[in-house]
Amino acid sequence: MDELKKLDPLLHSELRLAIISVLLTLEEADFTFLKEKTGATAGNLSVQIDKLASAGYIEVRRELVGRKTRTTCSITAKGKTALEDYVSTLREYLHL
Amino acid sequence: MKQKEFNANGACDANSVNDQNRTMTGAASNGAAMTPEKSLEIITSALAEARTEFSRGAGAPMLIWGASVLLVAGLVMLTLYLTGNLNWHFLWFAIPAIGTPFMMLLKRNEEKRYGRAVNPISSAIGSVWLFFGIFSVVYAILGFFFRIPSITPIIVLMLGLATSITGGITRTWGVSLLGIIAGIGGLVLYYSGWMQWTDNILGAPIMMAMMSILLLIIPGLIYNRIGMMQESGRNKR
Repeated sequence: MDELKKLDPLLHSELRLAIISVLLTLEEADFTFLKEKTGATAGNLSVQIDKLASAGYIEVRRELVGRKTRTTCSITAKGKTALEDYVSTLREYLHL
Repeated sequence: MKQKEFNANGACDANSVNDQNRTMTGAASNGAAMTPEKSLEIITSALAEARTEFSRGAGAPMLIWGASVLLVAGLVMLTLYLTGNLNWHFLWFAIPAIGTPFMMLLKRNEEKRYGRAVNPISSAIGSVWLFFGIFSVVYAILGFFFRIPSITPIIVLMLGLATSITGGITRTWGVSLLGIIAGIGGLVLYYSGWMQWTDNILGAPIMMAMMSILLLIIPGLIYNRIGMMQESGRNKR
């Protein structure tokens, strides 16, 4: 039997996959939006965003709005490619 | 065999999966390895939500601007009727002054509640209405310097065009159809002796009041309804 490609372990996580899938369709989104969309806790979301940013899959911008810091995320070209590869591997698994 | 391999790959990430709470679909992961179906569901759900995301917030701005135009049209109608002084047409410039603070308030509340996201659909629609606003205001200002044709039919046509494009971008064909019918219909009505039928000076505000209902308020209500249906659909899931 042909050896199947390994799934990207960084994307093979519910929350990280949800974050990157949401960002794929947007130009950018802030932390509150991602929290609302994914239903994750602030702490967990923050950790996963940092992991994706460290891998270069997303870009994180922090700016001061009034007295609060707004964290805005956007997907990078590397992130888009990684998600495309992940989906094509999934298709192989599912014979789609 | 393939399922096993998949799970084995998934297991390498089990630690990070463990600390997750809920996903977009609202399901608890409980550290279980993801199945290919689950992964695909997360991705498809995100893509589908993005396509419909615009509808949630689209109704309110149209209702705000529709109500602003309707209010000013009512005021213009009343003042023209009572005084007959055409200078009351300057009140049209109050539309941005009334609508803008409400829009800023709406934006602030939405961002506080749902967060801020820029998607290509809302950007495109925002541009359509921004340019509609610029063209309308500039055309009205040009009236001070040049002898230009009446502003009412031009605004009706541009308003119909902006509403149709909005409906087209969001694939809400009812809104597009309303834009075409009301925009072109209003224009035909205007040139079919509308000003004579409506006692001339009241023709413009009556026409604008009708258009604000057909091209802003009704589409706003349509988008609100779509948004509510999507919201209840999400909650059921």
